[in-house]
Amino acid sequence: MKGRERMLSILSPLLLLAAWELSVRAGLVDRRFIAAPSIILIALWEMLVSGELPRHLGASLGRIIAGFAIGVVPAVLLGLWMGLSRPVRAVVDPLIAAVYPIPKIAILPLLMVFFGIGEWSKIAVVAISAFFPIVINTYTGVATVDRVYLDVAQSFGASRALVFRRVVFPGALPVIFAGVRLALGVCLIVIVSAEFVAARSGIGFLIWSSWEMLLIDKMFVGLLVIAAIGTLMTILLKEIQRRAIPWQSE
Amino acid sequence: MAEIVAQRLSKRFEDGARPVEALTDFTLKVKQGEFCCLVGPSGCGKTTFLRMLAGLETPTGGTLEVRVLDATRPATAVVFQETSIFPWMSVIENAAFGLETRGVPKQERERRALPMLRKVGLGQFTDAYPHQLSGGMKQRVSIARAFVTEPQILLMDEPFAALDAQNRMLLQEELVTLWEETRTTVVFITHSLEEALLLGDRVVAMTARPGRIKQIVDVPFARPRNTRSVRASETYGRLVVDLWNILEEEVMRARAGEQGA
Repeated sequence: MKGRERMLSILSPLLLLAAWELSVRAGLVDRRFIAAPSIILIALWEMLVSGELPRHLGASLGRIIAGFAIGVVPAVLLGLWMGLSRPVRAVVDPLIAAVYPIPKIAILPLLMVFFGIGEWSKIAVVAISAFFPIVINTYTGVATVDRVYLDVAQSFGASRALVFRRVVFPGALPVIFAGVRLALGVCLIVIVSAEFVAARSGIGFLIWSSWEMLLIDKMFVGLLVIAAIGTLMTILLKEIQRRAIPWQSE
Repeated sequence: MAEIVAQRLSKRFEDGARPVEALTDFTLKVKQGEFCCLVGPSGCGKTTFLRMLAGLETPTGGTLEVRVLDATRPATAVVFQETSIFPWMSVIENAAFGLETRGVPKQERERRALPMLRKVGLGQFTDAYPHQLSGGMKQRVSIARAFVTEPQILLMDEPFAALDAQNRMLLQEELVTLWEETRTTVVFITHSLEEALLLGDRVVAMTARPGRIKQIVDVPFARPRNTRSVRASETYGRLVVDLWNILEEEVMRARAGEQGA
């Protein structure tokens, strides 16, 4: 990006913040519903110091990380298996097609029947949300590896194991990664929704309970933190992707 | 020692409702150390023949024998038309892939791939990834990958078709030099009559689908061959026209077939 463009893209959010701050102070918007940026920052600081924010943040992140870790491994394994074996695909594909469209938050009550109202039901809903986009992308990735690469491997007489390790898996990796990125986004939505209704901690709970008590500044802190988590996760994943898939041009 | 004997070879694809007769009654012998070029209209089954030689398709009729005597070297290696080097491997990993499939340890295979990469002018690019290379460089990697395994038969399927004219000339010259060092048996498929005459010892002209052999032209140019003086020669020009006279009818038939389909 050129210097001028970079300036503009730093300037535009700053301008927005300034306009926001001024319009709240000038009374153009209702203070009961919209908190000024300065107020939000003060609330953020207070919540950080008091330990309230770290507690909620830790709860949400813990659920996302645990659920994601539990969901991603079986998703990749099943996806690879489906991609490599037509019978497996024939069996599993309709099941996935049937379950995938259900909003995962809708099965939270069911999961609470199985796992109780504690942490495990939330972790399970994240795991299930992560599972689907990853399994779908993994087998799509495997199935769409360019035919010519398989021809090359076969023409050199490569063993099945080598074909998988050196051709099929790396060939599918960019698509698998796209699935992982998609899954993280979905997980973030799902965990916040789950915490709205079925938790006593977490960023979702913070937003919802603050709204119920009309603690608008705290609610905005929750929104700010969610936005920050999303942004940081995207940056982190891009970095991991850059290292894991060095052959991809930007 | 390696030679190819195809007798009354045929291949039928049972794909979908209408089976396609790709190759029929195809009889050809390619001798040890011969550079044999196949030309013909698109869809004449020349690629099918090459894929059968590579073990990627099985014949549905007749016999195809690939006689090789050296069990320590692979029978065939293929250079494909489109970009077929793996995007996820560096240049040297790509060039060494054939050795990797034969279980050669990493150090050993890179030691053997490096001189070949130098020969095709990629000594400085061993650690680059394909997306950083031009089309011509990618095809050089592909050629290196095939040569590194020291195959007894080299199969090339329009390897220069996707390149611009100048790059194609460069690679043709390089291929002649490289090949004359090894004198591997080659089956080379092209749609360019000029290329076939420039590179080959014999040019096999094929009919429209179902492909069979129409005529075999012996190429008179001596080895080692200087492609530039061949291009400048009168014989070359005449042979191109002769070959076109043989093929024109088939190309028209193939086109009529396409329009009818």
